[in-house]
Amino acid sequence: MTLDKIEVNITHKHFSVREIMEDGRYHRRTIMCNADVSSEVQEIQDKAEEVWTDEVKSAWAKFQEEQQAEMEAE
Amino acid sequence: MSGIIGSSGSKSGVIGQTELDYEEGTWTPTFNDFTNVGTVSGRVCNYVRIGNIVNYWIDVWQTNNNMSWTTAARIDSVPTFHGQITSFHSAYNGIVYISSGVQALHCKGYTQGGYIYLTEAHSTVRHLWINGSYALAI
Repeated sequence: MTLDKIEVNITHKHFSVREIMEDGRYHRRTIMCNADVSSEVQEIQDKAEEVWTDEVKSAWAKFQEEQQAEMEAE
Repeated sequence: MSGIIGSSGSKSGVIGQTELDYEEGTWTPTFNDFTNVGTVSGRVCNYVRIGNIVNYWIDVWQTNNNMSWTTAARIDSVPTFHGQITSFHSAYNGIVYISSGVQALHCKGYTQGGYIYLTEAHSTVRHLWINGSYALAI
């Protein structure tokens, strides 16, 4: 699979990665902003370094805690 | 009104004077709080985006009828696109095939976060199917 493009989601800065498979079809995966990207290609690692600040990661952690609490309350 | 949708993976779409974004492909869900999660290899985990609407499918199969998950287990890596997702809690439909037959699956999505919660625990699951959709503000 070949990296085609990285889109940064507005809300939590997740990466929507579009890749091209050997048969020419698109493949997408979402990499969340707290993910370990050490095994990703350099372009993704560089983008993570640039975009995923401590503030972004903290906001994502807080959002997840809120959603988890909401789930447990329902 | 006319419509032209190009070949797989292309970006095309002309309806009248408006060009729509069109994209289709596959995606790879990731599973949290699942045990003996089945395979998605060779199954149907696809997505289609038409304009600002994204539809996607999950199809997971376990050969030994022993897939299980806890309450509030999560399926991550829902295909997302650049843009604000307007649907905070989005629509999902799901069913499971367990040893006693087919049951409806209760699930709830937070597509803003790119994941789905399964609101009930299940065990002895052989097959899990979910389809969902959400809207992007472009």
